[in-house]
Amino acid sequence: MNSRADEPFRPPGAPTAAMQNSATGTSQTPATRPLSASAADNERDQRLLDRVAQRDRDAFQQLYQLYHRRLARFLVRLTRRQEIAEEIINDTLWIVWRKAPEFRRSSLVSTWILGIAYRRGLKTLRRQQSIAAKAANDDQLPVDESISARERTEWVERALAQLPVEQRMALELCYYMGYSHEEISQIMDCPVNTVKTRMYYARQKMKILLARLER
Amino acid sequence: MSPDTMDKGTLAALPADPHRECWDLLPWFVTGRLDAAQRASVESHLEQCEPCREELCSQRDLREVLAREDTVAYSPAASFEGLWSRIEELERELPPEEARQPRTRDMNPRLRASRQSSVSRWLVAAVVVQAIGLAWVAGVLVSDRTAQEWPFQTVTSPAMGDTEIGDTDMPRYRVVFARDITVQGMQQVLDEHGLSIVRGSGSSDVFTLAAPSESAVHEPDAVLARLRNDGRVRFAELEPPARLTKRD
Repeated sequence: MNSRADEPFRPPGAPTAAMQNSATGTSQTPATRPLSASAADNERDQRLLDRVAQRDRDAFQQLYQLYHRRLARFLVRLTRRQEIAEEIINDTLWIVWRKAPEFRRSSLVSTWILGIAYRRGLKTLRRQQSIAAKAANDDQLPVDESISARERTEWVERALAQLPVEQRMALELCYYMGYSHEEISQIMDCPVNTVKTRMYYARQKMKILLARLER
Repeated sequence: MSPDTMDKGTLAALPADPHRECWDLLPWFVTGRLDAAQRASVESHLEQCEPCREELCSQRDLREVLAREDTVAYSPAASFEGLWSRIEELERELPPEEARQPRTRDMNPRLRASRQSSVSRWLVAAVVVQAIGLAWVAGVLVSDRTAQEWPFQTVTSPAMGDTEIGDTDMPRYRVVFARDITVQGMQQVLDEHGLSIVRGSGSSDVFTLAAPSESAVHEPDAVLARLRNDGRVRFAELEPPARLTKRD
Protein backbone atom coordinates (compact mmCIF):
# COMPACT_ATOMS: atom_id res chain seq x y z
CA MET A 1 0.00 0.00 0.00
CA ASN A 2 1.28 3.41 -0.87
CA SER A 3 1.92 6.02 1.68
CA ARG A 4 3.68 8.57 -0.51
CA ALA A 5 1.96 10.78 -3.02
CA ASP A 6 4.68 10.33 -5.65
CA GLU A 7 4.63 6.54 -5.60
CA PRO A 8 2.65 4.74 -8.29
CA PHE A 9 -0.51 2.97 -7.24
CA ARG A 10 0.08 -0.70 -6.49
CA PRO A 11 -2.85 -3.04 -6.51
CA PRO A 12 -3.36 -4.84 -3.28
CA GLY A 13 -1.29 -7.99 -2.87
CA ALA A 14 0.16 -10.19 -5.55
CA PRO A 15 -1.57 -13.49 -6.14
CA THR A 16 1.75 -15.28 -5.87
CA ALA A 17 1.75 -14.29 -2.21
CA ALA A 18 -1.26 -16.45 -1.59
CA MET A 19 -0.67 -19.02 1.06
CA GLN A 20 -1.69 -22.35 -0.33
CA ASN A 21 -3.16 -24.99 1.89
CA SER A 22 -1.21 -28.19 1.22
CA ALA A 23 -4.35 -30.31 1.15
CA THR A 24 -6.71 -28.22 -0.94
CA GLY A 25 -4.71 -25.21 -2.12
CA THR A 26 -7.58 -23.12 -0.94
CA SER A 27 -6.36 -20.93 1.89
CA GLN A 28 -7.37 -17.33 1.71
CA THR A 29 -4.84 -14.91 0.32
CA PRO A 30 -3.34 -12.84 3.12
CA ALA A 31 -5.50 -9.78 3.68
CA THR A 32 -4.69 -7.22 1.04
CA ARG A 33 -6.20 -3.88 1.85
CA PRO A 34 -7.02 -1.33 -0.81
CA LEU A 35 -5.07 1.87 -0.95
CA SER A 36 -6.20 4.12 1.89
CA ALA A 37 -8.17 1.34 3.53
CA SER A 38 -5.80 0.90 6.45
CA ALA A 39 -6.53 2.91 9.54
CA ALA A 40 -3.25 4.80 9.17
CA ASP A 41 -3.86 5.72 5.55
CA ASN A 42 -7.44 6.69 6.22
CA GLU A 43 -6.27 8.90 9.07
CA ARG A 44 -3.75 10.52 6.74
CA ASP A 45 -6.50 11.09 4.14
CA GLN A 46 -8.83 12.41 6.82
CA ARG A 47 -6.21 14.88 8.05
CA LEU A 48 -5.71 16.10 4.49
CA LEU A 49 -9.45 16.38 3.99
CA ASP A 50 -9.80 18.39 7.20
CA ARG A 51 -7.22 20.83 5.86
CA VAL A 52 -8.97 20.90 2.49
CA ALA A 53 -12.15 21.87 4.33
CA GLN A 54 -10.16 24.85 5.62
CA ARG A 55 -9.33 25.76 2.01
CA ASP A 56 -5.71 24.64 2.26
CA ARG A 57 -4.31 24.49 -1.26
CA ASP A 58 -1.25 22.43 -0.36
CA ALA A 59 -3.38 19.78 1.35
CA PHE A 60 -5.67 19.70 -1.66
CA GLN A 61 -2.70 19.23 -3.96
CA GLN A 62 -1.40 16.35 -1.81
CA LEU A 63 -4.80 14.68 -1.82
CA TYR A 64 -5.04 15.20 -5.58
CA GLN A 65 -1.69 13.53 -6.17
CA LEU A 66 -2.55 10.66 -3.85
CA TYR A 67 -5.75 9.90 -5.72
CA HIS A 68 -4.96 10.89 -9.29
CA ARG A 69 -3.45 7.61 -10.43
CA ARG A 70 -6.04 5.31 -8.94
CA LEU A 71 -8.89 7.54 -10.13
CA ALA A 72 -7.34 7.56 -13.58
CA ARG A 73 -7.17 3.77 -13.72
CA PHE A 74 -10.68 3.45 -12.26
CA LEU A 75 -12.21 5.94 -14.65
CA VAL A 76 -10.42 4.66 -17.74
CA ARG A 77 -11.87 1.27 -16.86
CA LEU A 78 -15.27 2.89 -16.46
CA THR A 79 -15.35 5.17 -19.50
CA ARG A 80 -12.78 3.44 -21.75
CA ARG A 81 -11.45 6.87 -22.72
CA GLN A 82 -8.34 8.46 -21.24
CA GLU A 83 -9.26 12.07 -22.03
CA ILE A 84 -12.73 11.73 -20.53
CA ALA A 85 -11.29 10.09 -17.44
CA GLU A 86 -8.99 13.05 -16.93
CA GLU A 87 -11.95 15.42 -17.07
CA ILE A 88 -13.94 13.36 -14.57
CA ILE A 89 -10.96 13.25 -12.20
CA ASN A 90 -11.01 17.02 -12.04
CA ASP A 91 -14.80 17.12 -11.70
CA THR A 92 -14.50 14.64 -8.84
CA LEU A 93 -11.76 16.51 -7.01
CA TRP A 94 -13.61 19.77 -7.55
CA ILE A 95 -16.57 18.24 -5.71
CA VAL A 96 -14.19 17.03 -3.00
CA TRP A 97 -12.89 20.60 -2.64
CA ARG A 98 -16.42 21.96 -2.29
CA LYS A 99 -17.89 19.19 -0.14
CA ALA A 100 -14.94 18.47 2.17
CA PRO A 101 -16.55 20.33 5.10
CA GLU A 102 -19.63 18.10 4.75
CA PHE A 103 -17.79 14.76 4.93
CA ARG A 104 -19.27 12.93 7.94
CA ARG A 105 -16.64 10.19 8.37
CA SER A 106 -19.26 7.46 8.00
CA SER A 107 -17.02 5.74 5.46
CA LEU A 108 -13.40 5.66 4.40
CA VAL A 109 -12.24 8.81 2.68
CA SER A 110 -11.24 6.66 -0.29
CA THR A 111 -14.69 5.06 -0.67
CA TRP A 112 -16.27 8.53 -0.47
CA ILE A 113 -14.03 9.86 -3.22
CA LEU A 114 -14.37 6.72 -5.37
CA GLY A 115 -18.15 6.95 -4.92
CA ILE A 116 -18.15 10.51 -6.24
CA ALA A 117 -15.98 9.46 -9.17
CA TYR A 118 -18.24 6.49 -9.92
CA ARG A 119 -21.37 8.64 -10.02
CA ARG A 120 -19.69 11.32 -12.12
CA GLY A 121 -18.36 8.64 -14.45
CA LEU A 122 -21.77 7.03 -14.89
CA LYS A 123 -23.34 10.40 -15.59
CA THR A 124 -20.74 11.14 -18.23
CA LEU A 125 -21.12 7.67 -19.68
CA ARG A 126 -24.87 8.07 -20.02
CA ARG A 127 -24.31 11.30 -21.94
CA GLN A 128 -21.80 9.68 -24.23
CA GLN A 129 -23.03 6.15 -24.72
CA SER A 130 -21.29 5.80 -28.04
CA ILE A 131 -17.91 6.28 -26.43
CA ALA A 132 -17.85 2.93 -24.68
CA ALA A 133 -18.79 1.06 -27.83
CA LYS A 134 -16.15 2.84 -29.86
CA ALA A 135 -13.47 2.35 -27.22
CA ALA A 136 -14.09 -1.38 -27.14
CA ASN A 137 -12.30 -1.56 -30.47
CA ASP A 138 -9.29 0.62 -29.77
CA ASP A 139 -7.96 -0.34 -26.37
CA GLN A 140 -4.27 0.29 -25.98
CA LEU A 141 -2.05 -2.65 -25.16
CA PRO A 142 0.65 -2.68 -22.52
CA VAL A 143 4.05 -2.47 -24.18
CA ASP A 144 6.47 -4.33 -21.99
CA GLU A 145 5.02 -7.74 -21.30
CA SER A 146 5.72 -11.13 -22.74
CA ILE A 147 3.57 -12.17 -25.71
CA SER A 148 1.52 -14.68 -23.77
CA ALA A 149 0.91 -12.33 -20.87
CA ARG A 150 0.03 -9.58 -23.30
CA GLU A 151 -2.38 -11.83 -25.15
CA ARG A 152 -4.02 -12.84 -21.91
CA THR A 153 -4.31 -9.22 -20.84
CA GLU A 154 -5.76 -8.29 -24.21
CA TRP A 155 -8.35 -11.04 -24.00
CA VAL A 156 -9.36 -9.96 -20.52
CA GLU A 157 -9.57 -6.33 -21.65
CA ARG A 158 -11.77 -7.29 -24.58
CA ALA A 159 -14.00 -9.41 -22.40
CA LEU A 160 -14.24 -6.66 -19.80
CA ALA A 161 -15.31 -4.18 -22.45
CA GLN A 162 -18.32 -6.36 -23.21
CA LEU A 163 -19.60 -6.41 -19.63
CA PRO A 164 -22.27 -4.00 -18.43
CA VAL A 165 -20.55 -1.10 -16.73
CA GLU A 166 -21.80 -2.03 -13.23
CA GLN A 167 -20.39 -5.55 -13.53
CA ARG A 168 -17.10 -4.30 -14.97
CA MET A 169 -16.64 -1.81 -12.16
CA ALA A 170 -17.52 -4.36 -9.48
CA LEU A 171 -14.67 -6.54 -10.79
CA GLU A 172 -12.31 -3.57 -10.88
CA LEU A 173 -13.17 -2.44 -7.37
CA CYS A 174 -12.72 -5.95 -6.02
CA TYR A 175 -9.68 -7.22 -7.90
CA TYR A 176 -7.68 -4.10 -8.67
CA MET A 177 -8.73 -1.74 -5.89
CA GLY A 178 -9.10 -4.53 -3.32
CA TYR A 179 -12.26 -3.26 -1.68
CA SER A 180 -14.52 -5.51 0.39
CA HIS A 181 -18.12 -6.13 -0.67
CA GLU A 182 -19.35 -3.67 1.98
CA GLU A 183 -16.98 -0.97 0.73
CA ILE A 184 -17.99 -1.59 -2.88
CA SER A 185 -21.64 -1.29 -1.89
CA GLN A 186 -20.84 2.14 -0.43
CA ILE A 187 -19.00 3.26 -3.54
CA MET A 188 -21.68 1.99 -5.90
CA ASP A 189 -24.48 3.06 -3.58
CA CYS A 190 -26.27 -0.28 -3.70
CA PRO A 191 -26.95 -3.22 -1.34
CA VAL A 192 -24.20 -5.75 -0.64
CA ASN A 193 -26.30 -8.47 -2.29
CA THR A 194 -26.39 -6.41 -5.47
CA VAL A 195 -22.60 -6.24 -5.41
CA LYS A 196 -22.42 -10.03 -5.08
CA THR A 197 -24.92 -10.47 -7.87
CA ARG A 198 -22.99 -8.14 -10.16
CA MET A 199 -19.82 -10.05 -9.38
CA TYR A 200 -21.58 -13.35 -9.98
CA TYR A 201 -22.75 -12.40 -13.46
CA ALA A 202 -19.50 -10.63 -14.27
CA ARG A 203 -17.58 -13.83 -13.48
CA GLN A 204 -19.97 -15.98 -15.49
CA LYS A 205 -19.74 -13.71 -18.51
CA MET A 206 -15.98 -13.37 -18.29
CA LYS A 207 -15.68 -17.13 -18.34
CA ILE A 208 -17.82 -17.43 -21.46
CA LEU A 209 -16.14 -14.53 -23.23
CA LEU A 210 -12.61 -15.66 -22.41
CA ALA A 211 -13.38 -19.17 -23.60
CA ARG A 212 -14.54 -17.75 -26.94
CA LEU A 213 -11.53 -15.46 -27.29
CA GLU A 214 -9.02 -18.14 -26.40
CA ARG A 215 -10.44 -20.59 -28.91
CA MET B 1 -34.30 -13.29 -17.45
CA SER B 2 -31.28 -11.16 -18.27
CA PRO B 3 -28.59 -10.56 -15.66
CA ASP B 4 -29.47 -6.90 -15.57
CA THR B 5 -33.08 -7.55 -14.75
CA MET B 6 -32.02 -10.07 -12.11
CA ASP B 7 -29.57 -7.65 -10.61
CA LYS B 8 -31.47 -6.40 -7.60
CA GLY B 9 -32.52 -8.62 -4.80
CA THR B 10 -32.11 -11.89 -6.62
CA LEU B 11 -29.60 -13.32 -4.20
CA ALA B 12 -31.59 -12.20 -1.20
CA ALA B 13 -34.53 -14.22 -2.46
CA LEU B 14 -32.51 -17.41 -2.73
CA PRO B 15 -32.64 -19.94 0.11
CA ALA B 16 -29.51 -20.29 2.24
CA ASP B 17 -27.16 -22.45 0.23
CA PRO B 18 -23.59 -23.03 1.44
CA HIS B 19 -22.40 -23.71 -2.09
CA ARG B 20 -23.88 -20.51 -3.47
CA GLU B 21 -22.70 -18.57 -0.43
CA CYS B 22 -19.16 -19.83 -0.92
CA TRP B 23 -19.33 -19.17 -4.66
CA ASP B 24 -20.41 -15.58 -4.07
CA LEU B 25 -17.68 -14.89 -1.53
CA LEU B 26 -14.80 -16.37 -3.53
CA PRO B 27 -13.63 -13.04 -5.05
CA TRP B 28 -13.12 -11.58 -1.58
CA PHE B 29 -11.58 -14.83 -0.39
CA VAL B 30 -9.06 -14.34 -3.20
CA THR B 31 -8.33 -10.77 -2.11
CA GLY B 32 -8.30 -11.61 1.60
CA ARG B 33 -11.16 -9.28 2.40
CA LEU B 34 -13.48 -11.66 4.29
CA ASP B 35 -14.02 -11.60 8.02
CA ALA B 36 -12.99 -14.61 10.10
CA ALA B 37 -16.40 -16.29 10.09
CA GLN B 38 -16.88 -15.91 6.34
CA ARG B 39 -13.35 -17.14 5.70
CA ALA B 40 -13.87 -20.22 7.87
CA SER B 41 -17.15 -20.96 6.14
CA VAL B 42 -15.58 -20.70 2.69
CA GLU B 43 -12.57 -22.83 3.67
CA SER B 44 -14.81 -25.48 5.10
CA HIS B 45 -16.90 -25.67 1.95
CA LEU B 46 -13.87 -25.64 -0.35
CA GLU B 47 -12.51 -28.79 1.27
CA GLN B 48 -15.51 -30.74 0.03
CA CYS B 49 -16.43 -28.98 -3.21
CA GLU B 50 -14.38 -29.55 -6.36
CA PRO B 51 -16.29 -27.00 -8.53
CA CYS B 52 -15.66 -24.29 -5.95
CA ARG B 53 -11.94 -25.16 -5.86
CA GLU B 54 -11.82 -24.87 -9.65
CA GLU B 55 -13.65 -21.56 -9.46
CA LEU B 56 -11.15 -20.37 -6.87
CA CYS B 57 -8.27 -21.10 -9.28
CA SER B 58 -10.13 -19.38 -12.07
CA GLN B 59 -10.75 -16.27 -9.95
CA ARG B 60 -7.12 -16.15 -8.84
CA ASP B 61 -6.08 -16.15 -12.51
CA LEU B 62 -8.56 -13.40 -13.33
CA ARG B 63 -7.47 -11.35 -10.38
CA GLU B 64 -3.83 -11.71 -11.39
CA VAL B 65 -4.55 -10.11 -14.76
CA LEU B 66 -6.88 -7.43 -13.43
CA ALA B 67 -4.49 -6.42 -10.67
CA ARG B 68 -1.67 -5.69 -13.10
CA GLU B 69 -0.51 -2.13 -13.15
CA ASP B 70 -1.16 -0.32 -16.41
CA THR B 71 1.68 1.35 -18.25
CA VAL B 72 0.08 4.73 -18.84
CA ALA B 73 2.15 7.67 -17.61
CA TYR B 74 0.13 10.26 -15.72
CA SER B 75 1.02 13.85 -14.96
CA PRO B 76 -1.08 14.85 -11.98
CA ALA B 77 0.85 18.09 -11.44
CA ALA B 78 -0.29 19.55 -14.75
CA SER B 79 -3.83 18.30 -14.26
CA PHE B 80 -3.93 19.82 -10.79
CA GLU B 81 -2.89 23.21 -12.10
CA GLY B 82 -5.73 23.06 -14.60
CA LEU B 83 -8.22 22.23 -11.88
CA TRP B 84 -6.88 24.89 -9.56
CA SER B 85 -7.23 27.55 -12.22
CA ARG B 86 -10.83 26.47 -12.69
CA ILE B 87 -11.51 26.63 -8.95
CA GLU B 88 -10.03 30.11 -8.71
CA GLU B 89 -12.15 31.33 -11.58
CA LEU B 90 -15.33 29.88 -10.09
CA GLU B 91 -14.63 31.18 -6.63
CA ARG B 92 -14.27 34.72 -7.86
CA GLU B 93 -18.04 34.55 -8.20
CA LEU B 94 -18.59 33.46 -4.59
CA PRO B 95 -20.29 35.79 -2.12
CA PRO B 96 -17.85 37.88 -0.04
CA GLU B 97 -18.76 36.07 3.20
CA GLU B 98 -17.61 32.79 1.69
CA ALA B 99 -14.54 34.36 0.23
CA ARG B 100 -13.52 35.47 3.72
CA GLN B 101 -13.11 31.91 4.90
CA PRO B 102 -9.52 31.04 5.87
CA ARG B 103 -7.44 30.21 2.86
CA THR B 104 -3.89 29.01 2.64
CA ARG B 105 -3.85 28.23 -1.04
CA ASP B 106 -1.16 30.77 -1.83
CA MET B 107 1.37 29.12 0.45
CA ASN B 108 3.66 28.22 -2.44
CA PRO B 109 4.67 31.45 -4.24
CA ARG B 110 6.75 29.65 -6.88
CA LEU B 111 3.86 27.46 -7.97
CA ARG B 112 1.50 30.39 -7.93
CA ALA B 113 3.76 32.62 -10.02
CA SER B 114 4.23 29.99 -12.70
CA ARG B 115 0.55 29.23 -12.71
CA GLN B 116 -0.49 32.86 -13.04
CA SER B 117 1.48 33.40 -16.22
CA SER B 118 -0.19 30.49 -18.01
CA VAL B 119 -3.57 31.12 -16.48
CA SER B 120 -3.64 34.74 -17.60
CA ARG B 121 -3.22 33.71 -21.24
CA TRP B 122 -6.10 31.29 -20.96
CA LEU B 123 -8.22 33.86 -19.19
CA VAL B 124 -7.74 36.38 -21.98
CA ALA B 125 -8.78 33.76 -24.54
CA ALA B 126 -11.75 32.71 -22.42
CA VAL B 127 -12.96 36.28 -22.00
CA VAL B 128 -12.83 36.90 -25.76
CA VAL B 129 -14.78 33.72 -26.51
CA GLN B 130 -17.35 34.48 -23.83
CA ALA B 131 -17.77 38.03 -25.05
CA ILE B 132 -18.56 36.78 -28.55
CA GLY B 133 -21.03 34.25 -27.16
CA LEU B 134 -22.74 36.76 -24.91
CA ALA B 135 -23.04 39.23 -27.75
CA TRP B 136 -24.80 36.60 -29.82
CA VAL B 137 -27.13 35.65 -26.96
CA ALA B 138 -27.86 39.32 -26.39
CA GLY B 139 -28.87 39.74 -30.00
CA VAL B 140 -31.27 36.82 -29.80
CA LEU B 141 -32.83 38.02 -26.54
CA VAL B 142 -33.30 41.57 -27.70
CA SER B 143 -34.84 40.52 -30.97
CA ASP B 144 -37.20 37.97 -29.42
CA ARG B 145 -38.45 39.76 -26.37
CA THR B 146 -39.10 43.36 -25.57
CA ALA B 147 -37.82 44.96 -22.41
CA GLN B 148 -41.39 45.14 -21.10
CA GLU B 149 -41.63 41.35 -21.02
CA TRP B 150 -38.61 41.12 -18.75
CA PRO B 151 -39.05 43.09 -15.55
CA PHE B 152 -35.41 42.89 -14.57
CA GLN B 153 -32.26 44.10 -16.17
CA THR B 154 -30.05 41.56 -17.83
CA VAL B 155 -26.55 41.64 -19.13
CA THR B 156 -28.13 42.74 -22.36
CA SER B 157 -30.01 45.65 -20.82
CA PRO B 158 -28.82 49.01 -22.15
CA ALA B 159 -28.72 50.60 -18.67
CA MET B 160 -26.62 47.85 -17.17
CA GLY B 161 -24.07 49.11 -14.71
CA ASP B 162 -23.99 48.93 -10.98
CA THR B 163 -27.55 47.65 -11.15
CA GLU B 164 -26.67 44.74 -13.41
CA ILE B 165 -29.04 42.45 -11.51
CA GLY B 166 -32.54 43.73 -12.03
CA ASP B 167 -35.29 44.42 -9.60
CA THR B 168 -36.90 41.03 -9.06
CA ASP B 169 -37.75 38.66 -6.25
CA MET B 170 -37.40 35.61 -8.45
CA PRO B 171 -34.85 33.00 -7.38
CA ARG B 172 -31.61 33.05 -9.26
CA TYR B 173 -29.53 30.08 -10.30
CA ARG B 174 -25.79 29.97 -10.79
CA VAL B 175 -25.01 27.67 -13.64
CA VAL B 176 -21.95 26.35 -15.44
CA PHE B 177 -22.76 25.04 -18.89
CA ALA B 178 -21.08 22.05 -20.51
CA ARG B 179 -17.72 22.94 -21.96
CA ASP B 180 -18.69 22.00 -25.47
CA ILE B 181 -22.03 23.75 -25.50
CA THR B 182 -22.73 25.99 -28.46
CA VAL B 183 -24.42 29.34 -28.20
CA GLN B 184 -27.50 27.79 -29.79
CA GLY B 185 -27.36 24.99 -27.23
CA MET B 186 -27.16 27.53 -24.43
CA GLN B 187 -30.19 29.32 -25.83
CA GLN B 188 -32.08 26.02 -25.95
CA VAL B 189 -31.32 25.37 -22.29
CA LEU B 190 -32.59 28.84 -21.38
CA ASP B 191 -35.78 28.37 -23.40
CA GLU B 192 -36.49 24.87 -22.10
CA HIS B 193 -36.13 25.90 -18.47
CA GLY B 194 -37.88 29.24 -18.91
CA LEU B 195 -34.84 31.14 -17.72
CA SER B 196 -32.76 34.02 -18.91
CA ILE B 197 -29.24 35.22 -18.20
CA VAL B 198 -29.34 38.04 -15.66
CA ARG B 199 -25.62 38.19 -15.10
CA GLY B 200 -22.85 37.11 -17.40
CA SER B 201 -19.97 34.90 -16.54
CA GLY B 202 -17.29 37.58 -16.48
CA SER B 203 -13.95 35.79 -16.54
CA SER B 204 -15.41 32.57 -15.11
CA ASP B 205 -17.88 30.06 -16.52
CA VAL B 206 -20.65 30.88 -14.03
CA PHE B 207 -23.79 32.42 -15.43
CA THR B 208 -26.60 33.70 -13.23
CA LEU B 209 -30.06 32.82 -14.52
CA ALA B 210 -33.56 33.76 -13.42
CA ALA B 211 -37.14 33.41 -14.62
CA PRO B 212 -39.28 36.42 -15.44
CA SER B 213 -41.40 37.52 -12.47
CA GLU B 214 -44.59 36.80 -14.42
CA SER B 215 -43.36 33.32 -15.12
CA ALA B 216 -45.34 30.35 -13.91
CA VAL B 217 -42.09 28.90 -12.58
CA HIS B 218 -42.12 29.45 -8.85
CA GLU B 219 -40.59 26.24 -7.56
CA PRO B 220 -36.88 26.83 -7.32
CA ASP B 221 -36.11 23.31 -6.07
CA ALA B 222 -37.84 21.77 -9.06
CA VAL B 223 -36.09 24.14 -11.46
CA LEU B 224 -32.77 23.38 -9.79
CA ALA B 225 -33.38 19.63 -10.04
CA ARG B 226 -34.18 19.93 -13.72
CA LEU B 227 -31.05 21.97 -14.33
CA ARG B 228 -28.93 19.43 -12.48
CA ASN B 229 -30.41 16.60 -14.53
CA ASP B 230 -29.74 18.45 -17.77
CA GLY B 231 -26.72 16.96 -19.48
CA ARG B 232 -25.81 20.34 -20.92
CA VAL B 233 -25.41 21.81 -17.43
CA ARG B 234 -22.31 20.86 -15.49
CA PHE B 235 -23.15 22.68 -12.29
CA ALA B 236 -26.20 24.42 -10.90
CA GLU B 237 -27.05 25.93 -7.56
CA LEU B 238 -29.44 28.47 -6.12
CA GLU B 239 -27.86 31.80 -5.45
CA PRO B 240 -27.71 32.20 -1.66
CA PRO B 241 -30.40 34.51 -0.22
CA ALA B 242 -27.79 36.68 1.49
CA ARG B 243 -26.39 37.56 -1.90
CA LEU B 244 -29.84 38.42 -3.18
CA THR B 245 -30.53 40.62 -0.20
CA LYS B 246 -27.29 42.45 -0.52
CA ARG B 247 -27.58 43.01 -4.22
CA ASP B 248 -31.26 43.81 -4.22
